[in-house]
Amino acid sequence: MLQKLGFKENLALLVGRIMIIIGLLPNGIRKVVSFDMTAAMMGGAPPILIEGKLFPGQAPLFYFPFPEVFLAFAASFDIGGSLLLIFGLKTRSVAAFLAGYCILAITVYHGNIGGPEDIRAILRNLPLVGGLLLLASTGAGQWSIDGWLRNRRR
Amino acid sequence: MQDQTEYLTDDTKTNLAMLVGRLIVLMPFIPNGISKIMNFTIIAGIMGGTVGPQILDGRLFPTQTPLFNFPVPEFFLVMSICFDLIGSALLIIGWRARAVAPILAGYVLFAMLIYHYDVKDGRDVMTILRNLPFVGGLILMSAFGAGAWSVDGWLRKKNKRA
Repeated sequence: MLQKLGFKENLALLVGRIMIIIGLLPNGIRKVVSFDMTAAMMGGAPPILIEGKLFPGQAPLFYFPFPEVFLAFAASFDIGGSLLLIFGLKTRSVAAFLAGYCILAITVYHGNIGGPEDIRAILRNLPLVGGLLLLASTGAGQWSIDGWLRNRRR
Repeated sequence: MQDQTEYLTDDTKTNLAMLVGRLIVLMPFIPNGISKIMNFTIIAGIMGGTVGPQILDGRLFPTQTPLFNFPVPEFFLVMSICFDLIGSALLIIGWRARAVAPILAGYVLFAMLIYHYDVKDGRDVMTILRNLPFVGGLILMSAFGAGAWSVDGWLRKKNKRA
């Protein structure tokens, strides 16, 4: 299946990958840094202030039981997933999985659509999902662990 | 241009991910373009520097002093509406995707540079963080095109058969 990729394609795959995880990694770090506050919010406490904005901006679809557990999962998806994507290990599966996770998160926290502002909030978050899906279909190219493993096998 | 599309596996899963990913990446362009048409005079004023920040669609824009004001803002606004609407339409149907995607990526980066260059405010950082995955998706498309389920893919198939 795999042809040798040109310089341009490998570069695009690397840069595209890095830009896409920029939408994930800071979120994961923030979840770790403000773990208790975020867990409380997930469990039903009032919205928290993130960078001058209330989050969530609307009532979530549901509150999580055992929020600490789910938050730990979410943080590890954010951080672990980003690292796997940067290094390009199992890129296609990881990207597809993360896309699903993002869709779930968007549904829970932006699913109460009350007005155009809520739809806009969803649209602002969607490019991340789209980028992850594109990455799931292209894979990580040769400048990645996947690519290195493929070359070695040959 | 060297054709790297053979790199993509041609199975349903890959093609579906490519199509859905493309649609989702491009979705935000369309309301942006429409909002620019609806608020044409106000936005042209903002771009030209004659109108201060305004609340558009419930959000303050711009949140900081732009890097520079445009001369002939109407012209540039029409250009950017074309990028938003025509560019995204071309990518959605997947026609010349490898040429259109880098143009749009450059356009988004340029707009970000002008209206969010000052990153002292946490909100602008958030906006940039949210916009970069967008650019990343466009960069991926500029390398690999729009996949098999697109006008490009259909044309390729037709040429191969002929």
